[in-house]
Amino acid sequence: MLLVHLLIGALATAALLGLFDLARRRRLVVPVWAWVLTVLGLLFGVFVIEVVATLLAEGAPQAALVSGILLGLIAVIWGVLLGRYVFAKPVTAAA
Amino acid sequence: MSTTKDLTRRDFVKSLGLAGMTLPAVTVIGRIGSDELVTSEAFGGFLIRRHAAADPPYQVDDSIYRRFNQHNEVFSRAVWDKEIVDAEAPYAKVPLDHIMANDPGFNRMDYAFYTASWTVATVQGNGAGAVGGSNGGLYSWQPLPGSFLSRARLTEMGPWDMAGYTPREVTDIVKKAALFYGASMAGIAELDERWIYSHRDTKGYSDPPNIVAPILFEDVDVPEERADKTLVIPRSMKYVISMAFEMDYDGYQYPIGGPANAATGNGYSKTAFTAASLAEFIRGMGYHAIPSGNCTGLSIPIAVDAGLGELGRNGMLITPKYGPRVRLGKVITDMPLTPDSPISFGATEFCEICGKCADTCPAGGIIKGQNQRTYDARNISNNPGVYKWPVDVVACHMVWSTSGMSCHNCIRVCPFNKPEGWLHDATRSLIGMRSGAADQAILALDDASQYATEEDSREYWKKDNFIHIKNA
Repeated sequence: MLLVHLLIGALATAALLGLFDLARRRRLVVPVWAWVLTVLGLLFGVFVIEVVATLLAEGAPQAALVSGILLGLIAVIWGVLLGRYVFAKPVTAAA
Repeated sequence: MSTTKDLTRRDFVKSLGLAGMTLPAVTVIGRIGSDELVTSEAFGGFLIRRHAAADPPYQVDDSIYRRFNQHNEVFSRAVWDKEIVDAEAPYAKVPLDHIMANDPGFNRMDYAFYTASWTVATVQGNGAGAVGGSNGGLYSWQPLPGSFLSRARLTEMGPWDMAGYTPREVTDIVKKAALFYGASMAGIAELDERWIYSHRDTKGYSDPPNIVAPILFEDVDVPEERADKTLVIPRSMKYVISMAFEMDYDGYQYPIGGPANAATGNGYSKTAFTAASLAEFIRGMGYHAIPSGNCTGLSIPIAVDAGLGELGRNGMLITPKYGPRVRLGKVITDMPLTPDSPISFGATEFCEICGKCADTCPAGGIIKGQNQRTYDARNISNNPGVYKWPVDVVACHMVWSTSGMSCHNCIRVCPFNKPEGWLHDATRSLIGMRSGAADQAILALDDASQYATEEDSREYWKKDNFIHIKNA
């Protein structure tokens, strides 16, 4: 499980760095509140993956499936909203 | 002249953050009142509420309550009560029929596995680990003959002078010893005489069986059993060490059958071994000790007083860390100890809305619905006067007889019956906030997750169950 935790942490860090790079390349002016929501979204995503991984390791596949669907749906909606309204187009002014 | 200011997005987010931090704090502070919030690895590493000793998390109506007579306990009645004996007699051959039919969960291996797990409890524990009487075998009220204790002549010395240790430190030493010998949890309570049986019953472990004799508290020096079987507890023995023993998680995932029954028997055997070892340790320090499984007194209220958990709808102790998946033991002593105080962590409130144990009880012995707690009894095997969900233990015992092994559905399906880990600890912390909405959501998730729905107990042998066994 330790390797799984490390992998999940590395992926989350890579995702955050990727978003920083994306914002820089697109010259997006991302306000602080959006970065806060992004970080929270990433943390939530990590939480969802950790929940599913933990339940699978525990031998409860049904619980992993249910949690994955419910929490994963929230994570996907969060990600889509952030992508659509924050990272998909240039933001010209901070709120 | 008035000034108005538009709410900016920044202000909105700030307000949201502030409210998010303030509301839980106010809620928690408002709820704990004068009680203390504590956390400990023994409780699973999350916050629980420790009550003031004068404000335990249960209500007793002393105008109704009387000390329980062990003669009325269902295991005693299964020996003397003709109604129960006659009703269960036709099922005496059920185990053999199962074995001959090689029924899953009830085949020869299952019975061998299950009966062997009881070895220490039945052979050395006078059966007292579960269903037998007081003061026998490992549960002797006197130093055990032939033990190393007498070789070292420790019993000939006076009480240990505590040699610079404070009572709190001595208490911690005794608790550590309990965990060392095999307990999963240990707590100390001042002995409440209400929880000690008014009479003991020797059940089937005497000739003739079912000898009934009082248990008295007197100003004597040593615990004793008189010729008429009367037991006498010295009034100086005013402390009790309560211990909980975790039972195998995987065994308790399956329906009635070998794995769960073996987990139960193992719990009782551990109880006998540990209670006896701890009693001998205390005797070695020059104090008196009365080890006990289910004999001598009611283990659950003693465990509640000692801060091990809360009473659940299923009539069992719900511990924060293991839920109801524990067996209980105790050692009464005159060794000066510092009592713990009762705890609560939202179990009673959760039981109020849950009721899974009642829904799945094959005997219909657990009360369904909300606000059903009562001071009344359902039959003579309940003790009236405590505000609780009384369980129809006669119906419960009947299921055991007809199925050929003991039932444990109420432990199996309990949402508190989960393995250790951050995820379930976090869930228990949410339950500890006593929010009805959170409890409903957790319950819905638990339902959808379909825990403890395995049906074929042969699968037990394919699981790497040892990851769940602690203190084995």
